[in-house]
Amino acid sequence: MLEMQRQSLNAYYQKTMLKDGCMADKETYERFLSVRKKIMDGMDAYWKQNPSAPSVLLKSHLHTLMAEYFEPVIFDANPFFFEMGLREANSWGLSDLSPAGCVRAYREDILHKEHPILYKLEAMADRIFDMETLGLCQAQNTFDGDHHTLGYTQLFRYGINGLMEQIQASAMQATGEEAAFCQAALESCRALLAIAGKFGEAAARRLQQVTDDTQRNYLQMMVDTTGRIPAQPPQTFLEGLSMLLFAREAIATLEGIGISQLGHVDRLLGPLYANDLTQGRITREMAAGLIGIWMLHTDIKFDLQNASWPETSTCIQLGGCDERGEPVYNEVTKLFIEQHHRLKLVNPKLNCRYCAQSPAEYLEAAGSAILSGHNNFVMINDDIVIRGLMRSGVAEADARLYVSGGCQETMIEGCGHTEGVGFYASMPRVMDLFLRPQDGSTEFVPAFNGADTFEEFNRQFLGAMDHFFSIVIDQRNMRQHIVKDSLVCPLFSVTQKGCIETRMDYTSGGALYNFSTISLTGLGTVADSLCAIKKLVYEDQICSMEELIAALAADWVGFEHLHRKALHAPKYGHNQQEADAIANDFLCRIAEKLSQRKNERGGMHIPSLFVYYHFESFARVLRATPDGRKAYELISPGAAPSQLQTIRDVTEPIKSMKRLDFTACGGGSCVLDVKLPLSNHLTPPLFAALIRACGEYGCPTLQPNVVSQEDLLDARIHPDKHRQLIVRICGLSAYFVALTPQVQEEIIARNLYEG
Amino acid sequence: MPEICMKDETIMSIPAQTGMVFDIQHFSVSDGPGIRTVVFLKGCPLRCRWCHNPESYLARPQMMAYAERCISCGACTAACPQGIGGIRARESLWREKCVGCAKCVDACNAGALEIAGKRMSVEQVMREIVEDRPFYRTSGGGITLSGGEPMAQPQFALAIAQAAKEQNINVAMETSGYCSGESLMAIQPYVDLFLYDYKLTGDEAHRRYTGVDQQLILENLHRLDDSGASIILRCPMIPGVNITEEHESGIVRLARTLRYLQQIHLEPYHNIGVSKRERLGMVGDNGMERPDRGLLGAMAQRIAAVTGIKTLIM
Repeated sequence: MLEMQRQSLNAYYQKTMLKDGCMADKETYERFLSVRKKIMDGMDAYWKQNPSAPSVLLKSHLHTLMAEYFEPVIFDANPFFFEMGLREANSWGLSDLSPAGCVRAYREDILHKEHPILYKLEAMADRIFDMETLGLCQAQNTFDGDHHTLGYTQLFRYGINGLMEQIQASAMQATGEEAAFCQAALESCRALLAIAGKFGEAAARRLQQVTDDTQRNYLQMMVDTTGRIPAQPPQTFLEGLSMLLFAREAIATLEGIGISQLGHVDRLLGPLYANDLTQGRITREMAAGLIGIWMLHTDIKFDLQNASWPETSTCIQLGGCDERGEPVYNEVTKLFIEQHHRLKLVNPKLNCRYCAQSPAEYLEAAGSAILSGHNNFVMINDDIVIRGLMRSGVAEADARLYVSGGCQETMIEGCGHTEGVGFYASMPRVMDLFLRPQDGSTEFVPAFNGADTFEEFNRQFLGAMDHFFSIVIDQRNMRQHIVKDSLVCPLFSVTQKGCIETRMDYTSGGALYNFSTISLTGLGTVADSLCAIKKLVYEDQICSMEELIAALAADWVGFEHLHRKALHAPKYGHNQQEADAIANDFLCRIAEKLSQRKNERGGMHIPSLFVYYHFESFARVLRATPDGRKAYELISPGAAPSQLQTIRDVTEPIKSMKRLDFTACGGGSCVLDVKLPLSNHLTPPLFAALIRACGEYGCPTLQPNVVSQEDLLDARIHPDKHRQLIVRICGLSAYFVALTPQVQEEIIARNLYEG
Repeated sequence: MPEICMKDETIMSIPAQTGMVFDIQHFSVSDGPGIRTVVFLKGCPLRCRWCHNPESYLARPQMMAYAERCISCGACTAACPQGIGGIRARESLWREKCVGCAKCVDACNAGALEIAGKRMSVEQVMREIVEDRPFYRTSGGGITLSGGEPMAQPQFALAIAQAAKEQNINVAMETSGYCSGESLMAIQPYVDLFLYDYKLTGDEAHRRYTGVDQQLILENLHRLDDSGASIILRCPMIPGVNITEEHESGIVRLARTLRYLQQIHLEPYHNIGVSKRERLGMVGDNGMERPDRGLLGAMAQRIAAVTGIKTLIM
């Protein structure tokens, strides 16, 4: 049965895969273009009739047109309705082809015509471009259009009808822009209901045509479900699954944003499943089958066996606690882990929260899959994230609803958009240019001005970091201010607490929380460099700062003795008190400085120690650093130590973690990568014990990769033998053989904690 | 920030004893139950040909050289108080004269030298041990004294075991059993589990491959068993040496005589010791190969069936 479902999905998504700017199948693409043209023509006509219409009304009208013209895509033996046929298959939400993507560009274009600021925008882009060229940051995205989560809890509690009632009540007090927001929100909600209705009608028509009992059964499920979802809160397991998938896919298509999270599925669906079971409506086998179908589409959309960078960003959340602080673990948790493993899926990625009360059975179930080499998991420590969020001013009940995605970026479900990736900052490059300025660099990073003490050195360096951050944040805020009108998302907004009450779109700061995250790259490299400077220059006085800078300029050639000393200076993540304390001090000070800078929506900036693959890309332009690292060698990833000195066992970095206050990051994602050997000695109960110990040591998110080094090496020579070998790269999971030789090499070279 | 886990659990009454340690390995999951910290004590009276820790042989520190890393800069020679030349020059002479002061290790610009063996106090060892306490607590683990032969430093081993028990930490000890019976019985009350080697069946073979008689080992094993100690038999399995019907029968016979035997572990030979031997200046290749796991699996099943004792391949 699953094979039929897989083939049906595959047949459609192969045709709509983005290739060379078009969909792969010409006929399908032409049909798509003709639908899109109707929508865009409708938008042009609306704009002509309403030249002063505010952005939210433009967007909601777009939703109405999309609802009117889209053609539902229904898959064989599949009860779920989610594919509107209005975007390419391999889209995270930020689609170039979709009408939402076009309107975004269209609206920006109007803005540029209305206000002669295009020039100004370009000038700003140049300044960020300069910083990027210097290798200081990756900050071109004006606004993080990915890393969103819907307020699924709100949808499960109220349904769209309930939310519309709330909007109507709030609209009574609205005037001006607020009234426009309410009007737009209602129109968008009606569009969403109409879309579900069209799926129901299409399923009913198909039902009349097919005779096969299985197909009829699934079509009947769809007809029944569309009668209630998304208007009403789901009351059955099937309705719950349908709500999650339909809301995620339809709203991402309508709004043109990346909704990375499919939901905290066991928390949301556990009670529905239990109730169905009691009522005799479902069996465990039926539920497992539905979960399989429900997860299947993500991998198929992204052609994972052939894409060399198979990013999908789609995640589901499991475990942790609910808003009352009670641990979440039930049959649905088990079913998701089992089915994901059984079907050998790569996506959606399984973001597993854990807390002190999480049962051993849960950790062992995750461990069992992970230890078999199913490298699709991260283990997120609730204690660090929830306490961090509360430190940033988030109410405890809201903080407990956090989820994470497209990799592990923290999002507060139903309470706003935590810009998971505002921009990536290369902290080692700031140090590099601070010590050895290049042409044009001092505008962004003031040069080192001599220091008699380490404290003075540290003060100057932190000042340079702050100066750099202030420029990037100012630039981003100015750009967001100019373009935010084109980013409005009324439908997404109404699922977020605060927007209905304030009658403001989330892009204007209407939601309860409005954080932006700065991804700090190279904490280990910077902390190790500070340690080396402290020891070599100021404590042991083996060299002067000038000599150290000369050694860096020579890439350590001719300075072998000094190089050796630098390599042997204390290192962060090696369970060395002094180095860990320096890292903690640095992190806390940076976090404090960032928290004082507001974003365009009025929210705080918070740091994260999650770096995607920039520990490699930033390293490509980074010269030698004082920690003993040579030019262009990798920098440390996330919260993990650098690889300058081998660490044999996994307890060293974990024990180091107890000396860092990751809650200073205010809930921002901090990730410790560990590569463990595929071995029959490490059993699920021992894995569970490892995770519990991580919790006790205050370890942040653990991203395990369980691999056989021999298999990795052999897979490069005999890829056909290892087609199903999945590795965790940096927030994404992928087939090893599909990766580029460089990425394969990096994964092989990672430190293996053999114990 | 979480409290440092062992802050409120101060280490009490630790003797000022010191001993020679050549490694402390954390997160060991195959040297006793749970997640364990293994303390490797230096010195061993045996010379097993398959030994994977040859750096443990001598009681004093031993130099290990990575000759392939040497850049011939001469820093080691300049630093050596004995005036010994670099790794590449007259190696045998260098090894003879070396007193293990490690000055050359610090001086080496290429990371080509290492020293195996460090004098540590019980307190220093305990500091490392208690830091891992959350791993023990969550996994049912503890520490394992290993070597070398831990009973080659009986007072030091006893002091560590006592200090660990005082902290309510589970203690296992891996031993060849070739040691003073009195010392073994002195440490017995502080050891929760003995991982006791049974390497070969027959005195002649034992002498040939390990350099010592088996009699004392068997006497000590029975003495421990008589005292009610928990024992796991650890049997290194080496093709061409002891994967024979005779040794299998020997394991079965021995197991039947022990009242407190918990498990039997068959440990397939691995060749990690070869490169270590080369770094120590010994002849590296011992001509031994890894065994067929399938073969061992069948053997484990037979032993378990006959003795009723859980038998595992590690």
